[in-house]
Amino acid sequence: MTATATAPAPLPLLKHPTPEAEIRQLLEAWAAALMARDIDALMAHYAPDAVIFDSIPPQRMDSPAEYRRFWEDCLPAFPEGFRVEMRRLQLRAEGLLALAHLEQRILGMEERVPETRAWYRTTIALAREGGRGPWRIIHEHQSVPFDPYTHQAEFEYGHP
Amino acid sequence: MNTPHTSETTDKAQIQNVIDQWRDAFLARDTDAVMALYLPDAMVFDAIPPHRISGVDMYRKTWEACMPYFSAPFTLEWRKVEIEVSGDLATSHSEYRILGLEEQTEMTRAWLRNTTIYRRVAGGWKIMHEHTSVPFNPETNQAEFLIEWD
Repeated sequence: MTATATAPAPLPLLKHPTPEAEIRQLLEAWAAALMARDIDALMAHYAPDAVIFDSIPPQRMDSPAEYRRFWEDCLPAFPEGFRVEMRRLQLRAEGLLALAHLEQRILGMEERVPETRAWYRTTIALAREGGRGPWRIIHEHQSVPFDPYTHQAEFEYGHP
Repeated sequence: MNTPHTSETTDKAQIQNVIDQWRDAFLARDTDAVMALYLPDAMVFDAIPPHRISGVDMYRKTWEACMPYFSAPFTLEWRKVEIEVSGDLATSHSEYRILGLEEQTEMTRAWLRNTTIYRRVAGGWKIMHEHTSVPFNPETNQAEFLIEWD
């Protein structure tokens, strides 16, 4: 199934959503937006003051505007029909703050770009305004570890 | 009604205090004091092997294996520390670096990105997750070390 560039359908209202269920839904919506190459939909999940540590330079991005440009530069290189896969999600929410860590990888380009074979470690922080406001990502940290002798990124991370 | 010991400022100061305790324990090379700051089932994403550390017992072994590399007096420096707290859950993100090591290579002087998740339990705030990294250059697949010589 090829990804098309249409806006994703609005999130279905969960009847009595727990914060955990809401965050899981947000992560799926995030992945769907990326696969649809819909940067507007992707960026809607980020707070205006979000701080991002991504797996490739720069060291940090202190504004979603920077992050948006980052995706505008990167996405054209992703092949048709690429998929985002997630696993090992651990999530905890309390009041207006939710924190999670998980692993993510991109499927569909690993032959051409071996580094996408890696499971990327991700830690995220989300906040909401008021008890029913939408969750937004206020911080995201994604990385691949490295070998301290060769300084080579360890793309075999997460693989047996 | 806000009582002083539950105010947001106080909670953030408590998290800063955990960071300070971690720094002091590391500088003192006191493994027990470092490990006392972690929950038993803490999950650590480290920049170097073992990349994924599950539980404080495993982390203790990793930490002890690293201590010989810190034989000379060294210092730790933080910047851009941001803390968020809600009830018994908190997070911080920051950059820190190690200065003064005998073998001061590019790698050892680099600013490291850190994100930590804390939970308040009976014994106070403890670390339940820690993620430390540097980015990699996708053209060379090499770790990219941010060095500032001052």
